[in-house]
Amino acid sequence: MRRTQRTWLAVSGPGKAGRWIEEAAAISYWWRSRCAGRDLAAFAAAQTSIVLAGTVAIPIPTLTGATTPTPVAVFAPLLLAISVATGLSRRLGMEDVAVRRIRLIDSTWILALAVAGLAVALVASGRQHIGIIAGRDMAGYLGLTMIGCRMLGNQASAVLPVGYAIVSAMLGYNSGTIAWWAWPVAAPGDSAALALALGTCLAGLVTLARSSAARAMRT
Amino acid sequence: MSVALARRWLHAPARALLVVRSAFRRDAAMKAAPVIGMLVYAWATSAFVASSVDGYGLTASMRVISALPFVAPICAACSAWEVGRLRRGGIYDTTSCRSGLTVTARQIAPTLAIGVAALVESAVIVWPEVATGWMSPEPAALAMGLAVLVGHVAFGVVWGRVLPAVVAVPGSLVVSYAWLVYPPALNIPWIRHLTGFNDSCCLNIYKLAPGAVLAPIVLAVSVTAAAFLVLSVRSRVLAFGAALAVFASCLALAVSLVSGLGFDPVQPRTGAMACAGSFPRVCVWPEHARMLPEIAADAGQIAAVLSHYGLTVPQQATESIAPRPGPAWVFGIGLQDSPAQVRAQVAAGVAPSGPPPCAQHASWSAANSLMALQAWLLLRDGLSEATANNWVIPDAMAIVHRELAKPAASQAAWFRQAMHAATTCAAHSGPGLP
Amino acid sequence: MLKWDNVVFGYKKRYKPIIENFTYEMRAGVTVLLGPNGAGKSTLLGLASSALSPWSGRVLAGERDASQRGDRRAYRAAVGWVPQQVQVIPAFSVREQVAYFGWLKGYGRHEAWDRAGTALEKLRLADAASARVGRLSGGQLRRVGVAQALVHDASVILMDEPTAGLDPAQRAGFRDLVREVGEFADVMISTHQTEDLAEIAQSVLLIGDGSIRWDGSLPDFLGLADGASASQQAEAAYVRLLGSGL
Repeated sequence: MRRTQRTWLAVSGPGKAGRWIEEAAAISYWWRSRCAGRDLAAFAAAQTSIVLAGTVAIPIPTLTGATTPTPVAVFAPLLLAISVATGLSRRLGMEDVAVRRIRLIDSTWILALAVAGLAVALVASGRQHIGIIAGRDMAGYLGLTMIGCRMLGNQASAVLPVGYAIVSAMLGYNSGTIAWWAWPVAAPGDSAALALALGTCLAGLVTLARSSAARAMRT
Repeated sequence: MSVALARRWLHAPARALLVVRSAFRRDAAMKAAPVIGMLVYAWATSAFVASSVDGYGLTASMRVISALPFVAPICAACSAWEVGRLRRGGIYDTTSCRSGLTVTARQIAPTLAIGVAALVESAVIVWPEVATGWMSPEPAALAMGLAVLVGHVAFGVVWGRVLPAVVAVPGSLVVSYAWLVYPPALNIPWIRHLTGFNDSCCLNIYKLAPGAVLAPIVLAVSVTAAAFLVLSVRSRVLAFGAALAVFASCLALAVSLVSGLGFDPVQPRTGAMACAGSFPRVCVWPEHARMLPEIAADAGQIAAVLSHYGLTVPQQATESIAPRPGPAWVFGIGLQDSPAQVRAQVAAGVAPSGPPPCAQHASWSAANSLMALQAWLLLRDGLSEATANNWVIPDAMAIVHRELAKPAASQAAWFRQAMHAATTCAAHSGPGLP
Repeated sequence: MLKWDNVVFGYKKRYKPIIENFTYEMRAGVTVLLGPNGAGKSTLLGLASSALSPWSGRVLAGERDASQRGDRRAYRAAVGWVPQQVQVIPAFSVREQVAYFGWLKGYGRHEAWDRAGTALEKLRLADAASARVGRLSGGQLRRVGVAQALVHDASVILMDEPTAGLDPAQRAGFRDLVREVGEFADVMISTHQTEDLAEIAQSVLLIGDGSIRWDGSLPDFLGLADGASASQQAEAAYVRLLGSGL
């Protein structure tokens, strides 16, 4: 028996508490299979770049010919979306016949990232409007990533959030107003955009819960 | 159903449809082509792109390649996807007769073709919109745009070879796009000129600086060379080391080519001009050649006025801002200008159009003198008070009215003093001069 | 006992179903599933493993219906599956990979770990337990796939081409393992190797174009044709029932 196993047995011991500890430790299999540590690193990198960039804006050429300054907070959360997409691409087809609710674990993890993103962005950014943009977009991009897994397959799943962000920046501005669908670039006080982003996240969670890992591997 | 069987039973149009469908299924670029096409169409028909270029082929050519941010990043992502497919299929690890480079080139050829087709679409839409008569495209600008496209596709190849597709495809899309749109907004001129993207170039008195054309091409070549090395050299360490060395050297070269340029990658335009007349000799850019008789007549009229007052008449009146010996008579006109506007521009061109270069680093207080000079020229040329009022501020008009009431000799003396003040940074005093 | 009950299935709704009105109940012991390429063997096993859901009909393991949400977990705990393509997480060791699958099947961390060790010993992979699974050969990877099916107490085990890539000694060892497993679980093996059939099967199911062409016991199958050995008889019987396919 490995030393780590003996340690765990000593810590966990028999009884219900011991079983709970053992179950919690067993999640390490899932953690390593998804490389979820990288998700945390991407999360930290995104938040750091949002805090450091602050109100710095990237001038995006729109299709009207004007350039529109778009905050870095709109694009930084894509780091996390790409990391989550990479983790989901490591799913095995055999997980479709698992007894454990592996898709629920995936969904729970991504939901936790989305909620944490909103909370941390609000607190740490120091500028509430940037924090709201970052948190909203983080949730929306994660939803698009999960939908992308179903629509485009594992390998191309991150194209959906990235493409949506760029297209929103390019086409979303029109004569000073922002299109209803361009929630990534909407103003922080736009409650409809927030609802749309959160709705996208929810749709993604539902899609992930119902998707087949084997089918997603076919691209 | 085999292709041979399909050929036996299908008619030619249906066969063509089968080929297109196969290409659509097979190539990522074919799937992205409608998106690229729509974005380029929307950009090329926008009010900004369709605005007048004043018959200048360089400006029109730069408008054509200004569609790059909508084309190159998608092509980079498509090439990353295609190379990723080869990687997943183990193509680079097999013992095939064709090299990895050949197989990759074949695989990304549709992506490159779609990118070129998108630029052609941009040209086909933009050129008729902006052309006024015959306009020659600027080969250097178009070559630069093409090289930038190839560079971005090669960039996607490198990413697709090195990283899994799930990271390479969105990563190359974002990085490629950010490289094109972000540097032009920085206050660091040399970075802006490395991207090859400039949607505001150029007024017809400028041309692209050679360094500004070469630098993006050099960078594109370096990225393509890096892709070549990554695909050809077996040893990963050696491949990346060599690629990095090539890229760093080319980057240093590219920076040296653009480091001396200002915020715009331009230099004064030179080249053949259409000329007429002798006193003064009037020269205009070829795209304004049909306005030459009118301009020559206007210039002759103002030359006669200057002679009447005993003032020196410059030998040449021209649109070119390139430095030349002797007094300068530089005017700026547009194809859309009315005859009155043209006459005003020609007349006012006898005076400088702005402060001298020394005024950037020293105090200069002859602004009113400069404007008064221009207004005096307009009024002496017979243009209306209203035209002159639109040209200068009321303080300068007050100076002009004061001088116009004096004898001719006095006006001539004032003219010479004001010209001297407008072209130097020394302190001055005198009637009408601060 | 596994049963396909009037199952209809296809991969795309707009195309004709691959499996139509398929009804079959697995016999006890080892059943070999034969059929030409594209007959639907992997699809049938995929349906039986619950990786695929039928358009209509049911797949039952005893009383448990794979398509019923309430029965699904118990069904999956009872059915083991070795797919044709064994997918692994390259960063895992061999034992971690198998233990992960044990965890997926509901075991705790330590129990999954212990069971993984036992399964690897049965497949003579104990020496490779700490090797990176991404570096295994094709044959070793297939044995890891079999170990994944054995890590839990399945009453039905489905194996899709389990001997592909194994050398003759490994195939002999595998046949011994299947005989041993067949004593406590019902096993269905899809294979092209007729020598496997002769050595281990008790029943034969032959399908073509998604439907049953022949079904019965091994002696009856071998009796359909002549041959110097059981393997040759099996091959001749197959050709007789389905043709050469060329």
